[in-house]
Amino acid sequence: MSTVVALTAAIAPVSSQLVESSEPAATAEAVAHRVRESVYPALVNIRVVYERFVDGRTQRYPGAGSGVILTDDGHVLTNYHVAGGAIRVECTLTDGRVLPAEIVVDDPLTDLTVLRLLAEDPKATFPAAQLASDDLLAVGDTVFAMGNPLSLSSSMTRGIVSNQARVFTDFTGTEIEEMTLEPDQLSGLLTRWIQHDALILPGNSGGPLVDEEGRVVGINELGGRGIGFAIPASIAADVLRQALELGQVERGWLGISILPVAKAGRREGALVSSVLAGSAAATAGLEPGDLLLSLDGEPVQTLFFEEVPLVYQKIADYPAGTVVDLAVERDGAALHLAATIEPMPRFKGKEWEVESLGVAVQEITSPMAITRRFPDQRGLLLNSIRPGSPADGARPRLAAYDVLLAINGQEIGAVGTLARAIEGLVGQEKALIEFRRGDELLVTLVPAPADKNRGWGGELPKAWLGIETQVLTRELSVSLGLAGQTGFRVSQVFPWTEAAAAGVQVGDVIIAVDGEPTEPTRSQESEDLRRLVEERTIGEPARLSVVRDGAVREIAVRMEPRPRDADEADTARQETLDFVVRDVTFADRIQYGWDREQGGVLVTEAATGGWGQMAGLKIDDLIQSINGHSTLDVAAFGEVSRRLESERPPRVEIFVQRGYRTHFVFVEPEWKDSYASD
Amino acid sequence: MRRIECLGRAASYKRSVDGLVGCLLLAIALPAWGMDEAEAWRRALAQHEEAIVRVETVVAAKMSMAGQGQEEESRMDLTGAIVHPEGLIMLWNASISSSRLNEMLADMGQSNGFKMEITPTAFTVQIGSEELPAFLAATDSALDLAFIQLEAVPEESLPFVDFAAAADLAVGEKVLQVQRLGRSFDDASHLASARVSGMLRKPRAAWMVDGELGGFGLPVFDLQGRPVGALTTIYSRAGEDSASGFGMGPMSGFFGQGSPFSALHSFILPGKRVASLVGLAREQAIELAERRDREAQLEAADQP
Repeated sequence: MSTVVALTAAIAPVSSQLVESSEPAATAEAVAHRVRESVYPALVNIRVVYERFVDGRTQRYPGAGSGVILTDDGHVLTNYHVAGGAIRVECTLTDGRVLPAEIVVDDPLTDLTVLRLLAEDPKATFPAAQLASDDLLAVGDTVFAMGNPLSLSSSMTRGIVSNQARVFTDFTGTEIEEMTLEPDQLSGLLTRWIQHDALILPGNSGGPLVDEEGRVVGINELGGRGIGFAIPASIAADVLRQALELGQVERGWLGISILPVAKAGRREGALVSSVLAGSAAATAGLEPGDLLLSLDGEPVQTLFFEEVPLVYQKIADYPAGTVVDLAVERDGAALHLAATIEPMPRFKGKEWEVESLGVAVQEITSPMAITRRFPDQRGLLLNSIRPGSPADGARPRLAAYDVLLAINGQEIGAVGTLARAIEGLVGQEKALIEFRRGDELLVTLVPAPADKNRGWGGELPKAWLGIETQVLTRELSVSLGLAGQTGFRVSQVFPWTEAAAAGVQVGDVIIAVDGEPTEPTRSQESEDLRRLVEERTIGEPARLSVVRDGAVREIAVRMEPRPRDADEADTARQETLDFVVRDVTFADRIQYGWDREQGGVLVTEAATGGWGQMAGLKIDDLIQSINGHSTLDVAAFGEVSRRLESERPPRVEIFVQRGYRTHFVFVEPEWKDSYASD
Repeated sequence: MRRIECLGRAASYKRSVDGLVGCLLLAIALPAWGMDEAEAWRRALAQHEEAIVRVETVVAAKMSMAGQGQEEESRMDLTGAIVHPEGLIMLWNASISSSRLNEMLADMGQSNGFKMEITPTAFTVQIGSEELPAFLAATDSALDLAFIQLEAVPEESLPFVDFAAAADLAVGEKVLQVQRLGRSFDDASHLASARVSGMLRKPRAAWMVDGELGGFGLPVFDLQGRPVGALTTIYSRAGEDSASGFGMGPMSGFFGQGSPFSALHSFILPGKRVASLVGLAREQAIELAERRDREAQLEAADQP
């Protein structure tokens, strides 16, 4: 082992040797310790709650990853795919502190997000790592990956750089693979990844890649099968700088795609492979097939795919509004075109759930309009519909990827327009929605939301006897010394029932009901007694003739209604925490062995991605109290639930009976806001 | 043709008084109406097709095991029969409820904590060109029938299947069902037919048929167009059953003979039994409607 370590130290990377050429070579162990001292204190374990919009509703999920503090006032760099757009971010520092954080900047194009730790003391300082300002690495350099693999506590692994400027091309090597973090969200356009073999696993995302000098030279983004990819420091530094200076990331945009020129038989320039309609490049007159030779006099060279991101970076570095001279060769002739750089648009539009309509909708950005061939950006894109919602009841039907343009004649510019129109519907009123599907402009009517809380009918009432029985066949009867007397042998008497009150006992053999003989001889006749009982009138007594201790006796039992089934029990939904409970039924008490006084409400649904489910609330939990308020039954639960919605506590403490033990579930929800501010 | 068919049946039922009586009735009755069987079919279709309606429902299905669950809502089309002129509609309960399935799984002892709950959350009934909302009024899980009631009582009486005028059946009699194709085929009405092939006495009185009628929860008519029952399923909890012949094919095949699914069969529930259910369901619907109105009024009064 030590031999290997020594060997690793002996072949220290060229760049490191250059930097510290005046110092004696350190052992690998000493280097690792130095690196640890420099960066480990700045490492953070990030836990987030993020949202997804599925089937017309918001679902929330927990996520986790890594990050690194890069300023002493607590700015943390991580991946967009770890914390981007998260509705809650919590960071655990290596000293054990757990702090909430806010998102300063999301930059999905580079898959980076800048967070700021929120300490109680606004002047609090944090241990910050040093971010390299430039890309210093060479193939073979030793690097260390730090982070929280598998969401465990902070870890550090070592490897070497296997490629310092990696791009992803398809297997045929004819084009760069387009990377999308989520639908419509292009990423990686500017990135040449650092490929290394320091082991990283899920959970390492957003963690630092560190050189032997203890400088952060990359942010780990991708990995697997012993190979990892990190975003280089130069890109990370630019995003951090803009976040600190501008509070946002601004980039220039021409609207072109380029390819290396080698296959076109050229050695200089970049081959313009596409020009987006309406873009700055199109306005300037650039055309596919043009050879872009220079930007503002600075030569452009893309012999290989690895050089393509550099051209995009160069364009992105221009401030919007800059007029750039494009030196171009077209059909052998030299041209100069003046292009006015535009701000790079957002690729993916924001998404919302419109609960009253039962849809998830999305803002349409200009790239979305182009890629989806929409004529313009008007309206909201319908991404999914909740079954059973008003949107699902629209006739003709609405479908995913329709573009909702107007409701009741009012243009849908914002999500609140939709919500308010639906919420304003009364009774049988319907809303008229104009929408676009492909090239067709259609109209549909959407009904008002159904009132699902109104009473639903249950089973038709039937008389019931609170016992279980078995058929006493002649053979069994003889074996029991009952002289061949057949009947229904009572095998269980349910507590708190009229049968129990009347004194029916296990072992009694019922031979007649109101004088009508019940003398089954085969197991097939096991339901005869039930049928006889069902024919009786609820509330009236029935006379059971039973054989007990060899003598026949008469027992009058008042017929009672069959106890309510679980699906007939009263239910209630806690809207914000997104779970449903019902009253405890007679069958529950028998099944769980609860006595008659056992209070509580049983969880029957904890919606996937809901706050309750995410906090660990489980189906069949018997909720006994919430924030100390007793929830004896659905009515009491309703009161407590209304109180929660009104008081909006940051933490909801649910005390439950789960199986044989009690348990606490802590929920920290985001209380719903209206669209009033929209 | 009719005579030959009936004689053939009569031969196979020569020891069955019911079968003979049925065939004799058919042979005598049809000429007496002055129409052949095709005419009887046409009349039955014309008489009842308006009472057979499409019902759109949204059901929430919740499945859970070991504390974890999954829920999803789905919309589906059913066919129902108007059984009261003020908008009571009969449906197949198993299409909107999991109670039968849960009962069988419990009997199998194989649920392993698995629970399934299907709850309807909305009903819309297509009557003519109108889609009218309805609510669940009553169910009878044992007889596998459900009843929904239109939210608003229509101003004019609806065409309905009157089970109060239900006729008796006999083995050998031919029976009809009016069914509908789905929206894709314009909800076209059509008939299905079968012949009564036997009588069940336990666990419940019901009729067996010799083929697949298929319209569960729908009325069954005789050739005179009179309601004689409803096609439903009956589950026997008697156990130790390895019955065959009328088992719910795929379920029975999947779980094997002797499983609770082999004790689930389709039958015609006699019309008089259906009539009593309709009466009870109607009472429950009225009671429920009044309660819902009261609650709505209280709720409205609570609004600022």
